[in-house]
Amino acid sequence: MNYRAEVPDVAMMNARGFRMPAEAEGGATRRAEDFSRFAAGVAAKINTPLAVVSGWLQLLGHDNASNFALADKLGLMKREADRIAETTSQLMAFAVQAPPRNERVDTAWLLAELARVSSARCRKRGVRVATDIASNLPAVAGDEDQLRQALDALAQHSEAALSEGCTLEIILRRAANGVEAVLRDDGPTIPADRLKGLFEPFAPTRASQHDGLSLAIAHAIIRNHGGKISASSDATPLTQFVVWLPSRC
Amino acid sequence: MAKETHILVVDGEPKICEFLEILLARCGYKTDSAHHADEAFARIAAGAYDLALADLAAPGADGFTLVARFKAVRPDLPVIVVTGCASLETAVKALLNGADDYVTKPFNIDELQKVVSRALQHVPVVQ
Repeated sequence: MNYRAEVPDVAMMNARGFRMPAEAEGGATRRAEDFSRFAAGVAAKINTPLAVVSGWLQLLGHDNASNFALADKLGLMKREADRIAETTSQLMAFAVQAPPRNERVDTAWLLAELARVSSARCRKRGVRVATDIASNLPAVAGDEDQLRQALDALAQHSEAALSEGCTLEIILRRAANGVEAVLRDDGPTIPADRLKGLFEPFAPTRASQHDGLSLAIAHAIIRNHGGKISASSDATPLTQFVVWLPSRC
Repeated sequence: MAKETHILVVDGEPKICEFLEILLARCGYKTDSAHHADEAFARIAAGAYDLALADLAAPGADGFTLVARFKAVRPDLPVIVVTGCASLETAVKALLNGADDYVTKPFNIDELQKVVSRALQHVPVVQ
């Protein structure tokens, strides 16, 4: 059975740069801006008490390193605090994401760099990273840092689900009016119910019931660049993200 | 007798100041706290501090202005900024505005101690 999740043309919750359906644009933009302010405010409010809790947990851990039972519990609490910190960090990144710069981006170089980083992460776990990066592709205009962030989020999402012996393919190819980056792997498929909301904030991922905002941010970045992103997962088994970016130069 | 290293902690939240003061005291540093930018300026102008550890969101001034004003009064003063946002953009902006280094909240206390120690030795952050 094939599943496919195209990200619909609906209002998302980032304040800047989202393309909205024309009839909904005014109200949706205001709601998006309200949400961004709210998200940034909540994240900031959580971060301060969290810093106090996390700091004291670390000091208590240092002071009680020889009391193994207590140190173990303190370590557990610190790791849970770190999870909250990761969520607030992503919430802030989502809320304050800057509008993309408009520079010439060498997508072949960007994907080659992504493959190197991904390969270094995967090597220890026996996961192979293969590349098929075309040359002489049309140039893309955009923000290299943001595109790197988006593509890396997709790569990390795939990597987390892969076990020893699996392969992640990183492909860049020419597509109609642009280029297409494909991240394809032979790991476990994504159930249809998860695939449908994969790019929603805090949606469960392939590897975990708990995720933050990394795929929602990736989606926002690609859309802000005028691109499209989709995820599919079938019983072959192959799971892939496809990112299309328009050529502009 | 060697002079004690004196650090000013600037944060609007007293519990953060208290935690940082205790942590830094355990590392052998003498500390004071300021909960508002005006109080921080007054202390920097009047006191012989060796380093300032300042939250970018401290009340009373935009964090980057805070760094610039510290440097205007004491160009030699190492300033470490504390940011709640771990983005590279914020870090670069802080460094471009004169900060010597930055740490993120919540703190990793080992990292914080290293950053403070490095800044006191005036070792620049890799450009």
